[in-house]
Amino acid sequence: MSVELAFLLLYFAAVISIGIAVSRRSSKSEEGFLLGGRSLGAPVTALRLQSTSMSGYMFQGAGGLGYQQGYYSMWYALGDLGGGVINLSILGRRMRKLSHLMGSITSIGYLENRYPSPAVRLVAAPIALFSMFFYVLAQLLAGGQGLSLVTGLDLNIALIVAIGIILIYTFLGGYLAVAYSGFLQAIIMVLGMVWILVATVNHVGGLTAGHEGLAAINENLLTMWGAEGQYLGQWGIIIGAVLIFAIGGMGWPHVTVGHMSMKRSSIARDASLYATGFNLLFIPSAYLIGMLGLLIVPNLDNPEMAIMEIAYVVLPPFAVGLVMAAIMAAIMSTADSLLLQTGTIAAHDIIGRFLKKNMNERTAVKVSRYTILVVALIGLTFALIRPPGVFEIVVFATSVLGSAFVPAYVCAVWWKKANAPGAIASMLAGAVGAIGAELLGLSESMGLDPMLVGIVLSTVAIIVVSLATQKSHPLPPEIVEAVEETNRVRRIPKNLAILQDTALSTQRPMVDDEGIRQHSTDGE
Amino acid sequence: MFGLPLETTLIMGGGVLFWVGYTLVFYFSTKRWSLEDADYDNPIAEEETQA
Repeated sequence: MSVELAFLLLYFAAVISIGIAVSRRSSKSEEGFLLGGRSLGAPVTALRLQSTSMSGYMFQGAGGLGYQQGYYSMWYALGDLGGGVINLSILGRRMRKLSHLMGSITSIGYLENRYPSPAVRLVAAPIALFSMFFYVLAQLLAGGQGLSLVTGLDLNIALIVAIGIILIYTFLGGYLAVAYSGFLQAIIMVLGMVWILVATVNHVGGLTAGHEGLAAINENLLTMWGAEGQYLGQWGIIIGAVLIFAIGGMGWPHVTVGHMSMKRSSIARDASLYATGFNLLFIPSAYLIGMLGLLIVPNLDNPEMAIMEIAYVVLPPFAVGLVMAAIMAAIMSTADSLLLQTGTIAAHDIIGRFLKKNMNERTAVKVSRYTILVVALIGLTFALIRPPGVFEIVVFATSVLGSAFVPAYVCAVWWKKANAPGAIASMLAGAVGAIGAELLGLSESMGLDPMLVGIVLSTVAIIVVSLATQKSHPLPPEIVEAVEETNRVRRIPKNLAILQDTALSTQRPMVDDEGIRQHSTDGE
Repeated sequence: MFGLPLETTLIMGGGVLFWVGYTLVFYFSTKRWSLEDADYDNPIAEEETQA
C-alpha cells in the first residue's frame, strides 16, 4: 500500500468513526440530528463554518484561477478572508438568539418563522434545493475526481466510494458528525495547504524569486487586473469577485445553520478569531500556489489540477498523502453539510411541513436520514453523467444562493419592518436576477457579476416591498418583540413566547422579575 | 515588496490589514455579549445554586 493511500484510509476511518461515535446522541431528537443539540463551542463552530464554506474549489478552482490569471485571483481571496468574521459578526449572535426565541431548527424553517407565511417556505425551499443540489453535485464530482487521482481508481468507482463514505457518517451522525468532522477536516486542510505552500515557495527559490519568474512569463500576472489586463476598470466584475465570498456565505443555508447550533450566542466572538486565523493561513495560499505552479508545472491542460500536480513535484510521498487527504477533506466538508441541508430541507421543510405534519421525533430523524440517502443517490446518478466544469457550477450555485438569501437572513435580525411579502420578493428577485445575468452573459457584455446583479435586486426588493406592504401584511407582535429582543444584549425576559417548535422551549431557561431562573418544561 | 508591483502590494496588504482590524474591533467591542451566556449555560444547576 502506498503512503498516500494509507493517509487517505486513515482519514476516511476517522470521519466514519466520528459518525458512529455520535450516532446515538444524534438519533434522540430532530434537534439533535439537525443542530447537534445546539451544543457547539467556538473552535468547532468557526472551523466547521470555514471548512464548509471553502469546498473543493480551494484546491481546484482557486489554484486554477491563480494559474491562469495571476494576482487577479486574489480579489476572490481578499473577499473570502473576511467571509467568516462578516458572517459571525452580522448574523452569529442575533441568528442564534432569534432562532432560539422562535424555536427554529432548520435554516429554511427559521425564515418561515421570522416571516410568518407558508409561502416563504414554499419559495425558499425550492430555491435552496435547486442551488444546493448543483453545489453538492459539484462537490461529489470533485470528490470522485480527487479520489480517482490519488488511488488510480476508475472515476465511476471513485465516485461511488467517495459518496458512500460521505453518506455513511452524515447518515449516522447528522449535524454533530458533520460539525466534528468539519473541525477535523479544517485542521487537515490548513496543514496540507501550508505544507504545500512552504514546499512550493522553497522549490522556486523563495517568494521574490517566484514573483520574478512569473514576471518573466507575463508581467500582468503580478497585477490585480488579469493576465491580459482585461479586468482593469471592470469594477462590476471585481466587486462581484470580492462579494461572492465576503458576504455570499450569509445566504448559504448550509453555512448559516451553524449559527443556530452554537452553544451560546456569544460563541460568535471567539469563533471570529478562529475563522480569520484559519482564513489568513489557508485562503491566499491556494491562489499563490496556483500562480507559482506556472514555474513548476507549465502548460497544464487542466489548470484546476495545478495544486495536485504541484504536490507530486514538490512534496515527499508521505506529505503528498496528507495533501491528498486535505483535498478530500475540503471537498467532503462541504459535501456533507450540503447533503445534510438538502436532505433536511426536503424532509423537514417540505415533507414534514406540508405532507406529513405530525411525525414524532424519532420518525422525523428517520425521514431526514432516508431523505439524505435519496439525495445522495440522485447526486451519484448525476455525477456519473459528468456535468461540465466544477468551478462554473459552484460559482453559479453560490451566486444564486447568496443573491436569494443574503437580504432575507440579514434583514431577519436587523430590520423589524422586513415582512413576508418583502422576503418572498427578495428571494425571487435575487434568484431570477442571478440566473438571468448568468444566462444573458452580463459579466462578458456589461462587466456585471451575476451575484452583484442578484444581490442588488434582492436588496431593493425586500426594502421596497416590505415598506409597501406594512399595512396589508404587518408582522405579528410576538415576532416584532422577538426581533427587538434580539437587538438587545441582555438576558431573555420570561414573558417572551416560544413560537413554533415547542419542544425547544425546554432548552430555554427563563428569568423572572427577581432574576430567579426557571426552566420551562411545557413551552409556555 | 517580494518582487510585487507597489499597487499590488498596497491592495493585498490593505485587504489583509482591513480584515485583521475588523476582526479585532469586532472581538473587543462585543465583550458585553457574555451577559447573555447565563441564558444558555447549565440553567438547572444555576437555578439550584440561586435557590
